[in-house]
Amino acid sequence: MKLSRFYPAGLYLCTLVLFGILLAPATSWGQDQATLRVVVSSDQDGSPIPSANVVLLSPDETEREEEGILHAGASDSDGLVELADVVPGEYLLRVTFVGHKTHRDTIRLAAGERRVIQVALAVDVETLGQVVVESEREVTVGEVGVNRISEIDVARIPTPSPGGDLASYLQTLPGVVSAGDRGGNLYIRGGTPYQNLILVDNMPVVKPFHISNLYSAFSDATLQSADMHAGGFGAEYLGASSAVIDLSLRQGNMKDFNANGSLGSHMVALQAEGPLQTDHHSFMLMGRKSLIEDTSPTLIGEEDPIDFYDVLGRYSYQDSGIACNVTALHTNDRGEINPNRAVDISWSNSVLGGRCLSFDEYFNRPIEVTVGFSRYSNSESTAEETELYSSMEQQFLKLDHAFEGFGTLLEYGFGVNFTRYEAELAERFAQQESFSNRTAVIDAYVSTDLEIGDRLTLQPSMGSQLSLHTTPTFEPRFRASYLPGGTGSHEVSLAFGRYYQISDAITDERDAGTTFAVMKGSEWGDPNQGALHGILGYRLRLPDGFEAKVEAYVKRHSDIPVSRWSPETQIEMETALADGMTYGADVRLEYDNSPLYLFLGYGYSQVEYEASSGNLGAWIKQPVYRYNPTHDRRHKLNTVASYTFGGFTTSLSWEFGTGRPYTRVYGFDLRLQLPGENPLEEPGTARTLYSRPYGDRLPMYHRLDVSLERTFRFSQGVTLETKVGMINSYNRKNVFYYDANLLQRVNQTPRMPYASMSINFN
Amino acid sequence: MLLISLFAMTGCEDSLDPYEEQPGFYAIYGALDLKSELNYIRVKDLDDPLTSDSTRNLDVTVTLENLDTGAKEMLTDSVVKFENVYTHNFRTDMQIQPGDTYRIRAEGPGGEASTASTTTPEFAELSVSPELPDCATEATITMEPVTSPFNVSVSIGLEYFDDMYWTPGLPDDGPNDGQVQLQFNLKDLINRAFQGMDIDAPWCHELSDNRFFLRYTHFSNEFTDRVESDTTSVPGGTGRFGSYYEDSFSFRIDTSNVCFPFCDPVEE
Repeated sequence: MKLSRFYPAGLYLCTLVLFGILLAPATSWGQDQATLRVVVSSDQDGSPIPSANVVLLSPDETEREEEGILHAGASDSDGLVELADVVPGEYLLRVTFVGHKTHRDTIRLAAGERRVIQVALAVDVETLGQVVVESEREVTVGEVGVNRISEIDVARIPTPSPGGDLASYLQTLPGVVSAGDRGGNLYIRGGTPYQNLILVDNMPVVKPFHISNLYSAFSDATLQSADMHAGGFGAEYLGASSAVIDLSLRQGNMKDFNANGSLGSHMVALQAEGPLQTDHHSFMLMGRKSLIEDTSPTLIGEEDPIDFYDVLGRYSYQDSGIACNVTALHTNDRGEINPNRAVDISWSNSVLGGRCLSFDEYFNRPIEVTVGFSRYSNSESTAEETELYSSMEQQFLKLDHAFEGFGTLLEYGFGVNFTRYEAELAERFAQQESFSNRTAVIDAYVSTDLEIGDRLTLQPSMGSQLSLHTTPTFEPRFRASYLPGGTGSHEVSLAFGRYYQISDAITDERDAGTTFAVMKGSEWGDPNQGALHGILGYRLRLPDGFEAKVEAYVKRHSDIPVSRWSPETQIEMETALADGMTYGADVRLEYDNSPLYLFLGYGYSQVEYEASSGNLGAWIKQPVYRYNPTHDRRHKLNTVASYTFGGFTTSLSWEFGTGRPYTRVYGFDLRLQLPGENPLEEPGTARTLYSRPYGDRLPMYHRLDVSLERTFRFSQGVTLETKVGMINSYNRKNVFYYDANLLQRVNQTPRMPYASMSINFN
Repeated sequence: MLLISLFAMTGCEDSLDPYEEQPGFYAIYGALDLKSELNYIRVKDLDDPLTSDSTRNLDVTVTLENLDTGAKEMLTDSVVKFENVYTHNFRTDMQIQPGDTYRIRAEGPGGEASTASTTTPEFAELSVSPELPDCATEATITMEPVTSPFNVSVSIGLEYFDDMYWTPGLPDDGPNDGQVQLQFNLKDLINRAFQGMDIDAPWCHELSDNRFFLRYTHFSNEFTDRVESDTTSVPGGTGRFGSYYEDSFSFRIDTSNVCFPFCDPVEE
């Protein structure tokens, strides 16, 4: 008998044991030590502050505080820091965060005590806007492969709407490649969009990027923080073989009502938030709608028939020992990537769920529970009918906790995900019939942090996933960081591990004119998509806001489902399995010292797939075919600069990239159905034939975007933000793709001026 | 400086040549009919866009060769214009023999060529068992030599009040290699032929003619492949090249028993 027949029962048993651990009374393994939980929030709106530095100092060394740090931590997206195994005694608690006044307090912790302290940091007007966080550098380590993104980072990138957008920001990062300026697909360090896991408050959302690549469902107004794990992430993230984008949304203002309306050449948006009960319950509502379709004929002199909207609603609750959020998000995108093609692409995401974090003194360790529903659908239609449709629905429950064992703190978690996949494909695509099937995935992980001396931190972790149709995965992972100088100035770190994902997506990436993907789960007997990651990084942080980061990485993907190519310009549902090798290096140089911000990022990467040619389809004669897929952009350079002067802020972003591979046209044919059609009487069916896949490269790409902003403050809490700017300022004719259906070169957006204004009522 | 250098390097280079440079391969679409005195094979230069100007002339030599006998013929072009596109359909009057292998070759002025071959099907013999089936009988029609059931397409017909009614036959593998069989009950087959009509399906003795008719097409292997194999059946090009013939057959049925459906069981 197969092991897998017994495995679910074993896993369920483990689940019950874990529940037992969770719900057990608060027995402490370290009876002699104390535990301090600090929840950091802003006294302005009551929202949690992530990345705040919380340190416990010896009360005797207040003159030289940096030398007297005994315990330290950085707050997470809920503003929570837990300092465990604290020797009972008296301490000076210091909490710092950029733009806020430092909080200091003397506390006394008794043996076995677990205490929760709420700290509300007051805004420091004098330092607001500076982002020099020296203290953070002493406590935040092990950042290899991670980009910590704040709403300030997002707001710096020139975008046509007020503020900034996560999608625009991500594309400035080395290692992140987009297939053009439409389509909403982002490739991260050799991985495809569907090899990424995107979490919104711990809930999966498949494709929250809009059809205009300038936008996602997350503007800086709703985003609290985002962590992009480009690879090498720990086992707490399961279900992605390439990268993770972990987003935390801002909660509604807990103290005051706030309303905002904005109007620009690209978008109209409304936002409202406020307390339902001061300091305990709040709401936030936001809706945005694209105007691009209406304004593009005026702004750029050509049609741009794309449209999208997103709606976000949040309810937040917080008390002395618990913080909960209920989030509802809906996005909708529709449009023609090539306006001349008359093929309408659409996709939508719907997410509804809640997440609670309990850090009550009753519990040994904080407990986090997430439950919800997420749906993604996409389709491709002509004027007559919907030809292709596919959807994926997920119902999920996750639980994260920690316990002390084997002499260390072990974090663990498990989740259950019920997924339904559906596809309806018009007859001409239906080599694989339309289908509807369900699967359930159970996953679990355990992870720990081991500090060896003052300089070395090890983070081993292990995860496993089990679906109804596949054997269990085994996913060991390891992260380590070493501080050569004993401080955060220099850090050498590495990460490696094994990764699997159980859901797949089939696309025809030869054709950038469509983004349609068939979502499907692994079937019995199919191998799971897997990957091996390895990253080695070095980070240098200097005073006055300079940071340099260099990372070299390798990803070895296996069993990637690749559409089996026919020479015809249409998607083929049959798949072959390819293996992919990606290696490269990213360099980031950042200078952040108000009023000046400078960023330079360079990424080199090489992505190569190989597969048995017999499975791949036509034109290929070699037994094993190696090719560089569409996201193999070898060189990418990004610069971002922002400067504030006289009440104005000006920003520019320039991107350069070498050409991506594309598939050329082999020829033109008039196909006869034989036997049957008489060549003297029937013209046959006209068709354009693709050549050998990815046999050539597009020209290089570069673009400069600029913006100028000013905020006017009026009495009674009314502010007006204004912004003007230009996308593709020097009107570079960047090739998006070559449309083999229409035999037409399709360019990216030409020079596009924009203006927007936003009024805010506090 | 680095930025300035890059800026200068990037320049204005944005040209794109989306067409494969390797020239001169051809699309070949042809179905050799063993029973036709003339056959037409369409040839198209894959490099030529589907416009009037580019398709008007085709500089290609097309030859058809019987690889078993060595007979070879150069084909002549018949140009047919459909809307804005000229098609070049090459004519052959070569007698196509069953069981022989034929090769078509389209060669351009530079020697670049696309070729495709087909082995024609043998003429099949048909037999019926029992010799005189009636409406209660399970009839078997055997066709041989036929490589597989996928190589034949069969329709079975019957006449009723001067109209013919047809229904597809469902061939299956026969007991021996090279045999294909159709097995059916005559009454079931009549019911199938009248399915969806307002007319009640007749019994055998009610038919206008006491014969059943078969019309069938026997294909070469090239026409049993999947549609997307166009590119592999014509190496160095695309298209489809195969052979076939159409034929018909009839057999008599026993209409003497008029008691249906209330016939007494046969006593043994």
